[in-house]
Amino acid sequence: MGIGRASPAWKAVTYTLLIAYAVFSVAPLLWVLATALKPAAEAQRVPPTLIPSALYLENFRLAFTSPVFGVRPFMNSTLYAFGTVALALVIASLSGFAFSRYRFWGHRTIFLALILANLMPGVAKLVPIYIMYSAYRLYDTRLGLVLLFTLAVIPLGTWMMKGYFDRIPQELEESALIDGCTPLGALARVTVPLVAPGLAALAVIAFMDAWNAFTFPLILTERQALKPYTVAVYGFVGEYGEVQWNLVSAVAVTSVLPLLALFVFFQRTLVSGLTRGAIKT
Amino acid sequence: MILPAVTLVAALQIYPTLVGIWYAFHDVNLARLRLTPFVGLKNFTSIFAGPFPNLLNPVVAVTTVWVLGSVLLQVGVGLGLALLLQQRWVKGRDLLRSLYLFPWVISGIVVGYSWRFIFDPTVGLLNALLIRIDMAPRPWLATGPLAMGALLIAATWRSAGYSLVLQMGGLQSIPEDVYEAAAIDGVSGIGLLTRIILPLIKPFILVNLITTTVEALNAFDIVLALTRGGPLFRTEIVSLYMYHQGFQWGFLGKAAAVSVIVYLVSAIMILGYVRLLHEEEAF
Repeated sequence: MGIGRASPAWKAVTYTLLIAYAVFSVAPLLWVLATALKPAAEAQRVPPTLIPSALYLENFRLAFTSPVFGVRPFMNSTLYAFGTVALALVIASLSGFAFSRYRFWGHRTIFLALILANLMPGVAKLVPIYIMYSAYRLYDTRLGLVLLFTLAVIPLGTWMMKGYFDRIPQELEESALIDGCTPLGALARVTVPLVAPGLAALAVIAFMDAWNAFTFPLILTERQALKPYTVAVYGFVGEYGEVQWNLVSAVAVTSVLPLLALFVFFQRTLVSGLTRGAIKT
Repeated sequence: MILPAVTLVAALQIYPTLVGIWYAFHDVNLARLRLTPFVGLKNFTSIFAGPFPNLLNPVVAVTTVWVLGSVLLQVGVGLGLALLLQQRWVKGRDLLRSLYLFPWVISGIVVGYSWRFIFDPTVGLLNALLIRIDMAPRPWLATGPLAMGALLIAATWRSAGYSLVLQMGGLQSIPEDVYEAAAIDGVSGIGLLTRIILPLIKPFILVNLITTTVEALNAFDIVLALTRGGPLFRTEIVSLYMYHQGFQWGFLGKAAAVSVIVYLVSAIMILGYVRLLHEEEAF
């Protein structure tokens, strides 16, 4: 792979740059982790300590029992994320399968429209979505949020799943049909197990997307009980006044943990999904 | 089978876009959603020439700096790291790539707050480090250029790893014999980079430029958390301006007019994207 030889000086330069950027990537995370482990008094100290004086887990308890934060936001985010994963898997594998196998009227145009529609900035539809949701009683509901989160991954999901279905020989499904399977039965018993890696990649992307969503929940939730952690932490920090960084950091660390777990287990899937998804069908 | 996907996209993407254009020509506000008299171009004149802040002062300029800055930094840093990391003798490639990519999966709001805390003038990490090496602490988020710089650093920190992954994909698509042929012809160093590698991965760079541009136009949470558009609207990018007009002041019609402008700009870029993909399929 790549360029073969290099002088020792160039090697030194390369490693210095690579390691420097690695430190830049990791340092902010360590800083937030360190703050999450500091008592309030230490977190407010000027100048701040770089390494916490003791392992202090009280911040997590304080954040999760606080009436303005609590456990609820993380439970909500979890619910939204799993709901989105379930819906996205079903909808995107159906549409990906259809676009891969059938040449129906307008299939190219519809596929292209699906992909392009997604490139329109989501932020730009804040106003119409807000008004629509108010009119159709989707404002301040869990379903309304999950539908929007699902929509956000459907085009990419359809594209990815079409790619995975394209690589499965059709003869496999045909033989299942000859053996008496219904088309949906063949899909469920033969094809889906073969595209499992694609489903895993899509599930990871859908989970991360829904877990991190902020803008729409911000304008579409009223009740404290429905807010995901992203909106709750925004309210927790507040517009003005002193920020309790030790508590915010505890929340931030908690929010990163599931992402870290997914990242460690599915990194390869994620990377290959990204590389493939970005370039071609 | 495509019905669920098509219905969802039509109902929550295409229909709102069209309705949004309709609202842009009507007087809608938060307190009164139903009764919406037609007002012609009033919303547009008001977002372009209304009282400060408006699009011409300073939102368009701020957004341009933000989009150009974050796109160039993210793609530039990503490409640079990919070139360094892709050299055959580099050890620990997978670990380094993981460390670079991880910030990309964290939510914008958490990224924004983490960096606001780093740049905090009194209890922040950056000033603590500066004091440690006997340099003067600075009020990092208090002036326009510094606040924009802080935003660009945070955005690059978050997304350069994504560009890196794409560009590594590009570099891996170059067949090994290209390097061998170059070595035989005595091409190396800068010549190898500018005359052979860059032209070969050009499609990857272009795709990356366009996706990052759309993403930068879409950015919202990271800016809201880190600078809230301040100081004095000096980091008020277009999405924040729209949010403030629509949901803080209640002028939904004005916010819809801003969306129309954003749609126009995005549509131009998406058309470029389509043309690019077509050219790709041609060879």
